[in-house]
Amino acid sequence: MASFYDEIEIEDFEFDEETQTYHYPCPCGDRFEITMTDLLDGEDIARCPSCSLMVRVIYDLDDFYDKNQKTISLEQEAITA
Amino acid sequence: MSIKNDQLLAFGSNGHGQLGIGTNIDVNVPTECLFFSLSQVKDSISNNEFSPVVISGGGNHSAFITHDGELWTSGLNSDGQCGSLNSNIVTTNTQEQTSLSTIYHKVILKDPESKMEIKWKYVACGWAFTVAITQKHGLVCTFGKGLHGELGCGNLIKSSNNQILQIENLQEFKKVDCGLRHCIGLTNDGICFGWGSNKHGQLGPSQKDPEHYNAKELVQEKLNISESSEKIKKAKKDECYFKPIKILIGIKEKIEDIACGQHHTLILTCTGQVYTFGLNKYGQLGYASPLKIQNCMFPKQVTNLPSKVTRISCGWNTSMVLCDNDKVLMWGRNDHGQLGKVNAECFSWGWNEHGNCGIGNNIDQWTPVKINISNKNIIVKKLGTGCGSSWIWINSVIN
Repeated sequence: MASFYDEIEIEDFEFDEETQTYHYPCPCGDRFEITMTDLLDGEDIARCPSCSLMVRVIYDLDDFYDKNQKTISLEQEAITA
Repeated sequence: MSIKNDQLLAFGSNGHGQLGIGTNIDVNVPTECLFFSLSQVKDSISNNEFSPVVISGGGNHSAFITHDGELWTSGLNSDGQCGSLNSNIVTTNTQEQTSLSTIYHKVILKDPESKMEIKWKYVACGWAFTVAITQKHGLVCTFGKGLHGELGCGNLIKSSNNQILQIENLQEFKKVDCGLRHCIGLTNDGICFGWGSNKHGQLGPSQKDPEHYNAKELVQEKLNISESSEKIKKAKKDECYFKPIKILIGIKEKIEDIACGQHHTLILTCTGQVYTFGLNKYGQLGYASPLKIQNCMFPKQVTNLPSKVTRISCGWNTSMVLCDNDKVLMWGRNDHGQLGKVNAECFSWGWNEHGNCGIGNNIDQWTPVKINISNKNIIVKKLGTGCGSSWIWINSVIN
């Protein structure tokens, strides 16, 4: 069974617009990461690419989904326009 | 018995060369830092005594101050946490790296009047920022990136933009320490100041002074994410101070020492008592179970300590004190064995995935293991630790 190093609220993560990825510092020096797509899929484990540690992301899927669906549909509108 | 060959040795996480050993590969045995053996450095140091005065490690960078008051850094500099790119650099050409690579930066700040290089007396590395104190007047300088107010220079300053910033109105400081997103500084008069994130109460009681307080902006940002009332309540808790605030401890004694964990703070008074505040998720505050208290902004005394305390220190979610009967006590998180089991000398224990215990393997150590340095008789004179990296300054002894 996977054991989590910690549980971190989504608001404590930093968001990288370019890669659409959320980051939070890992004690090894690298960063735990989870993509927007993963979060929208209901995935809540952010992993560190450089070590074995992982954290559980605390977020409200419904709130998150509403907000980001809006953004996505706006983007699509912009593209079609 | 004579002493020769002083060395700085490092081990652990090294993805960005923060150990200063000339490679970007983690090492699990103590390995020589090139700075003190490079001839170009030795030539520039006129007096024979050049042991580092302070050694500190951050997320992916590190810093030390030489006996002469020079401040040197190594590791990642993507956000200017190693100081200006225009500063003096030390380069090396090692077997592992074919190209000439920068391993050390000298942080240079000139006195505006005398044009002389300012000398440094203390340094602490945070995640992606560095805080340093000058010898003269004890001024506090910061550089790097701090989205939560870690640079201490006002609401709009989240990056030092390749410069050395000086925090206004702070002087006569003697020490500073950094958590993940907060900083605590201590003056010669024994007064504490803090800046950065106060989400878990790690800066002490909230102070709604509008000059210092930047919660409003953050609340506004959060509102865009979700407008549900529960989230607003949560966002209000997320306080950041972009300028230093005086920490109200509520005691008359002078503060002797400070130490920061990831999200908590320890304070030692001149009478040898310890006060803690901030996150208590793993019992790191030392006076209550996490089931009862998750965090506390009000400094409270850790009772139950067997005698007066002389030194304090923190890991990420652990706290430790050295008592005047030479006993070390620790409390907090213990899921990788980081609390060890007592006893002194140069031992290491705890999380060891990057070889940061320096004992030749990468297995978590639940009991203290003596650090051996290849058949040498050594005296360890000074320690420094970062996130997953460690340093020891040694004197080798020949009989």
